[in-house]
Amino acid sequence: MNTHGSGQHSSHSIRSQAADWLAQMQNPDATPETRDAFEQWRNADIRHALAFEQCRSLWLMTQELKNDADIQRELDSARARKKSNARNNRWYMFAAAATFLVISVGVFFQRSPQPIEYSTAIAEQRLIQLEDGSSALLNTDSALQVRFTSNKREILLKKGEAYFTVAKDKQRPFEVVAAKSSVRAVGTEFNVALLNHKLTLDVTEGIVEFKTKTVTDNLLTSKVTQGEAINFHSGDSKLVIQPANAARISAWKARKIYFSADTLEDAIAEYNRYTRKKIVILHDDLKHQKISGVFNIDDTDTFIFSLEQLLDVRVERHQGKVLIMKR
Amino acid sequence: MPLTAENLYNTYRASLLKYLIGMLPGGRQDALEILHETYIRLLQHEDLERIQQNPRAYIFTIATNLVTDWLRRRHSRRQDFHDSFDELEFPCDEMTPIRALNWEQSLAQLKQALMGLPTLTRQIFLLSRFDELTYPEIARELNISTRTVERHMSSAFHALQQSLEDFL
Repeated sequence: MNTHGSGQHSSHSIRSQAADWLAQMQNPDATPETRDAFEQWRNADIRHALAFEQCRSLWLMTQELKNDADIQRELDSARARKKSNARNNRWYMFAAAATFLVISVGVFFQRSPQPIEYSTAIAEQRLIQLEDGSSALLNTDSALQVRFTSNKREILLKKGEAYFTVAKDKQRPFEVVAAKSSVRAVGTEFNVALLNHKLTLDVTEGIVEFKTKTVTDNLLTSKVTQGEAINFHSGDSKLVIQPANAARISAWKARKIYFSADTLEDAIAEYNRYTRKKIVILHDDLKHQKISGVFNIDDTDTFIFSLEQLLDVRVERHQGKVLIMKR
Repeated sequence: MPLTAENLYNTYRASLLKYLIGMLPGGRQDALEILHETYIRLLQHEDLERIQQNPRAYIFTIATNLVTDWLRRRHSRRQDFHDSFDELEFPCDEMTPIRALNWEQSLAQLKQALMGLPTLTRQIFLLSRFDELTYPEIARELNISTRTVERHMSSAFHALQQSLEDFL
């Protein structure tokens, strides 16, 4: 479609000129000379005007991605970078004034790198880019600590859930420690959740080595490969390999919750991870009803409404809580 | 064939419509509206001789201009309506199933292009796009030069163009 009156090559170069001009014109400090040069370029050929206008449409079209979960997450990490950069700048200024102190502290840091803490609030998710190219997507109400040394990449999952994408580095294994368990990988993708004394590991790519200790201090180990999962409660005495719950994991990564014939009790416990307005089931015999579906984690009202429709329950809101009772 | 606005319009009508459907969230309905507006503008154009040098580029420029106006109006409208606008927007989905698909495909491609950018480029683009930070502000925050911000923006735009290359 773009071959009219011009070869592929020239339409390509017009396009990259248009991209350059748009980038320059969006700078509020562009000089009058630059603006004149731009007008000249645009008026020189109608194909210039078209390419520029198209580029501007694309810029406007991306506005529609504002509510996209992945874009939101990337934006959050851009904001975080902004903040940490501002911190670094301050640190740098202080360091310039006290060089001696910085050198001695610097040596100390090199020997034993300071662990870096990351956490999320309820309903927040955060993508953490690690220095080795790996990343951790932190789910709601979670916390982890990162400590990289020359021979090990160590992550401590203190609470909650995270999805790890591990960059390959044979010299430095990547190890996630959670409670008494550890997951060791070289290059792979997996999800770890530490909730209510239960550790869940789902491997979505590659292979990892899982280690844990029972209450009687027996060491249990197992290889877990792509498509497999382990659910380990703190009282368990052996490891059982199960199929990974890929649907649940891809759902949370897109800010959604996926239920597949879960009991209402489990479903509510899961949903409550994402909301401050906690949902409480008042009648025990409701707890075992089954529920399936996909829900947005940011939309409690719709979730509650669906429960009312699906399960024939009555909902009351009371002092910041949502109470579920028999009709 | 005499050079008339009508002839030009008929020649490019089909490809214009296809083009517009991919660029507008309202799909076929809005695309037709802009197509007709393009025709009206073409009729008002006095100097058809000038257009003849590259009729396709002229007509597509008129149409793309209308698209950018439309998108800009939509965004300012959006700010007035806040969240409720989303619901108002899709009253008759079943009637024109083609529209959501094409627009969503375009958006998906743009998203993919952004996700595929080097991290720093993507972050600069997103801060500029959604936090509406100016280049000097971004440069200050990230401790780089304004010229570098400009270069990252340019390469982000270029990636967006490439993602919809077959279509532009």
